[in-house]
Amino acid sequence: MAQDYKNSSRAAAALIFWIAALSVLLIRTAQLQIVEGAKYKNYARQNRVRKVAIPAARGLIFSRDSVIIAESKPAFNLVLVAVRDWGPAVITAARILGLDSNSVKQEITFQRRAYPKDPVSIVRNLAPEQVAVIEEHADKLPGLRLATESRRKAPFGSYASHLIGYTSELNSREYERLKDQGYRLGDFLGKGGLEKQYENLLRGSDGCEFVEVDAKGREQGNIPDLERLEPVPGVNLYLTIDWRLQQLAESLFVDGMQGSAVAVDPRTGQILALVSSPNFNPDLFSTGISPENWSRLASDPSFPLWDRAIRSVYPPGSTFKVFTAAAALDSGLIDEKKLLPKACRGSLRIGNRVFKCWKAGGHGSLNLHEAIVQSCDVYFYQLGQMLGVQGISDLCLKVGLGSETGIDLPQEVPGLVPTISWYEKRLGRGSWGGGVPANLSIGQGELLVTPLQLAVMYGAIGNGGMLFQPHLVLKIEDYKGELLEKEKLKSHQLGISPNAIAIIKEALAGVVNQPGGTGGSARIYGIEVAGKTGTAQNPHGDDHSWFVAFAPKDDPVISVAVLVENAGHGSAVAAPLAGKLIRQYLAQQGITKDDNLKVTAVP
Amino acid sequence: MKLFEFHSNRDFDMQLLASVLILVCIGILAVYSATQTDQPGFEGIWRKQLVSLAIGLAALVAAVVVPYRYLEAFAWPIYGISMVLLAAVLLGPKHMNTHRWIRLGGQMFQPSEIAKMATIFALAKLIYRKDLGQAGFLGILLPLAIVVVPLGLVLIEPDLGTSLSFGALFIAMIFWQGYPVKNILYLLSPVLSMVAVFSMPSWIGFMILLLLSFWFFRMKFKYASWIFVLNTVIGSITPFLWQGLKDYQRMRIMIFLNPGIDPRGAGWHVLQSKIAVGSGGFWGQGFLEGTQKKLSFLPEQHTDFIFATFSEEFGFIGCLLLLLLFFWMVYRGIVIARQARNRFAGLAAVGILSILGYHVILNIGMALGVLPVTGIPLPFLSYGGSALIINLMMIGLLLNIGLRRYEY
Repeated sequence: MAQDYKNSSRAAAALIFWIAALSVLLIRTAQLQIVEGAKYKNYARQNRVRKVAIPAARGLIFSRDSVIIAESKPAFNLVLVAVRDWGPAVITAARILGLDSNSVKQEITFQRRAYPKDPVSIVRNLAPEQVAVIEEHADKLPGLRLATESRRKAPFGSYASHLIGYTSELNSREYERLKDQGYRLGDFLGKGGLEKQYENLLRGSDGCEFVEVDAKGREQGNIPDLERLEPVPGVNLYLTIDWRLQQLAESLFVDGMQGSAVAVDPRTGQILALVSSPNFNPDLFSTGISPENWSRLASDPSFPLWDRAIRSVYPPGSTFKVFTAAAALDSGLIDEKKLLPKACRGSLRIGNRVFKCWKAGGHGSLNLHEAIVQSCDVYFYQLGQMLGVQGISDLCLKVGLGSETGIDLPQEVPGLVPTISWYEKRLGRGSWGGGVPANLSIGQGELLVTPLQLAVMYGAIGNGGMLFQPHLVLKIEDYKGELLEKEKLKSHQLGISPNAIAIIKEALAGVVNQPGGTGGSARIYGIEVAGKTGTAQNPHGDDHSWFVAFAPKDDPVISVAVLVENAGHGSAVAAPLAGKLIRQYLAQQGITKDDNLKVTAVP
Repeated sequence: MKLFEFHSNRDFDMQLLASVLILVCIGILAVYSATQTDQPGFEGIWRKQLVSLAIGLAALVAAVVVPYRYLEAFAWPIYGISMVLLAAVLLGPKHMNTHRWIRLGGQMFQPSEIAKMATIFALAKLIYRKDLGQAGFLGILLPLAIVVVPLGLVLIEPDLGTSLSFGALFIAMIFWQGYPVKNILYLLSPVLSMVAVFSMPSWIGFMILLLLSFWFFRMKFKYASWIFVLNTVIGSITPFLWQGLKDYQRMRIMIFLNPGIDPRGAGWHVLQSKIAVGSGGFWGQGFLEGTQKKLSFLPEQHTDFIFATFSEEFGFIGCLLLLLLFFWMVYRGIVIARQARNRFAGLAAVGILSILGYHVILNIGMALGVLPVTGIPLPFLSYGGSALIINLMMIGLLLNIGLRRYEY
């Protein structure tokens, strides 16, 4: 039978293949067990091979002008390699370094529970003289070796601390969560700001090498047939931050002033400066923060760890009037010439409540332009009553207030735009007064924004209604300098008509440049700055001072929001600070010539 | 219709059954030993393996009793259901970072285990009446598609090792059905190109061999040109695709293809496994005495690296016995396949044998450091319920085919 014959020859072929494959395996087994058996038995008996991790250097962070603002420095650790019989060496080491040997032993036992066979760091971040002492006594310390790891160093101390964030050692909870991703106890983890946001890229990946040790744990050299796996350093981040502008912005907050300053390029959404004051020194964390330092930082009533630019919300005060104006213009309630029914006499009665204007003497009868320039409250109370809560909240939600800007920082808050249903839920149906829209119209009451939101929104108005998503990273390079990623610009329209935007921009320029405008202290010779002051009522203390602006008016290259807590009127405190920032940036960009301005050099 | 209709009980292959029973006994002992370590947490799992063994033996008996023509009749529905399961597992929650498991009645199982058998039946049914000797390249496309679907679905779970087992059964079964060896090699040539091109001289050598083979086999120009173009395209695109990737992307692909590798140094596991095997010496360190194992130097020592645990304690003598048992098991299987008069049954037997053989070679090769680490279990020895049950079921089918080997 032909079929059977074919089957037989195929079966023979299959059998030969099977025998050949098993023979290869058997020969290899014989090679390992019989020829090289003694060698491997020796390895096994003494557990002579150790895998030693080579930590990767964390990526660097640069400003847009290539100044390193977060770097990595090697630190020395004393590492225990031996698995057993390490007691005497550890006691000697503890004595040499002046440490309590019992607590060192406890630490070893604790770490060995997680990694029974791996080397453990027993003393970290040794001082140079300690390193020298250890090297001197190396022969009395079998099983111990010096190893390096990379630690964050902030070259300018607290400079840009909130946006950079900080790294510190994993705690045991984080270790449980991250151990599957290759984190080990003692590793550093980005815990705030960009360090947290870009943790996976900045951290790189560790390498390892295999060393042979003798029975006492002394190293004998590398294992030849095992390749050393080189660590891959983390990526380098180039930020959109302008080094000098950031420095100036931080220097503006003197004498314990608390607040925030944000500068954005409205044409791209690039953050030029982002300041929250007071700030902190990230090195406190990367060198292992002491309990005293931690409790001092955490209990400081001025909240130095809190990034006010993206995590604090404030009522926008009069800076909000541009949005009330936009809502009124786009719904056809007013045009640029129309006068409202009631002239400003210093206050307005709504129902049985009296709403005051900031100017007790009153502004008289105004059109929209003058109402913004002089920041007349009575004019906007009337607009608010015409628009109602819904008219105001609709516009806010449309332009993006009440939601995160999407900046590449963790923990940004959305702020709050109260809607009719929000009030009904909070205060009960029909039980909230007719004065609510009046209050909203001048940015007081329940409406809350972050400094970043206002800087971005004003930038978009200056930019003709195009809002670019704010971001901090300009480009990402690998450690060899090869470009991995560039910023991707994202934009959308605010949804305010070009006509309304043109009217509002003229009015904002008037605020700064017209006699009688509230923002005169931000005026810059030879350039048209457009901006708005604001005073946010603060139930817990003195009012907060706002100034938000962009310049030059027609084609803005910078928009700025400055908030100073408990500083009173925006015109007095925040406006001159914002003026300084704009003045320096325009001079840096060569848009204005400013002989009186001394700009520090980029380091 | 009689349920039991074999010629005589002499056709029941006791040798096959005996070798498998010895293997499962070794397996229980090895799992027990592998979990007696200084790392707590696994002590009791040999009992769970014992429960799986009982279920597996019941499955074996069931597979012996039911006539295989039912499998032929229901081959397509079984295939369809198992493909749906494979797709469903991808949509389900991740377990240990991959989409391999489905929870069924409190028990985790891998649909890819069932898909292997389903694919064997479907492929056997599709080709058993055909003379693949005349099939050419177009005629093999449909059988290829039957296999590529589960191969691809398992690949993206991701589970490279298991996914390639579909390739193994495909090649074995079309070979058995008479598909010319040279055509099989040509089918594989693009894959070989992709690998060879990482060293340019070897790829050029490979292409020259390919051209020479066209001349040697008097290939039709039509086919030869297609194969040549395909290899050239793949050989020239692969380096560019690979070079275009960033370091971290390459690492990501490698980890994707093979989650078993340790990004902190893949050599470590293999070295520890080699030390364990080597330190077994000729006679072994004795049952429960393996030091590598006791100190938990071995990764996955009760599953993927069970061979290392075994050979540390039983030495070369034990390994020789183990390999002989595996040899005998597959040898008896080949005898059954050769004698089966029913082509469907013979093909199914070959498919089953190819899966078992593939697992044995890949797993032991990995433990000995001659093949890459892919996370493939060793049949009948590695801890794992669904694999043990399915493997015993496949042995049951082989016995079944052996019993009815004179039926057409």
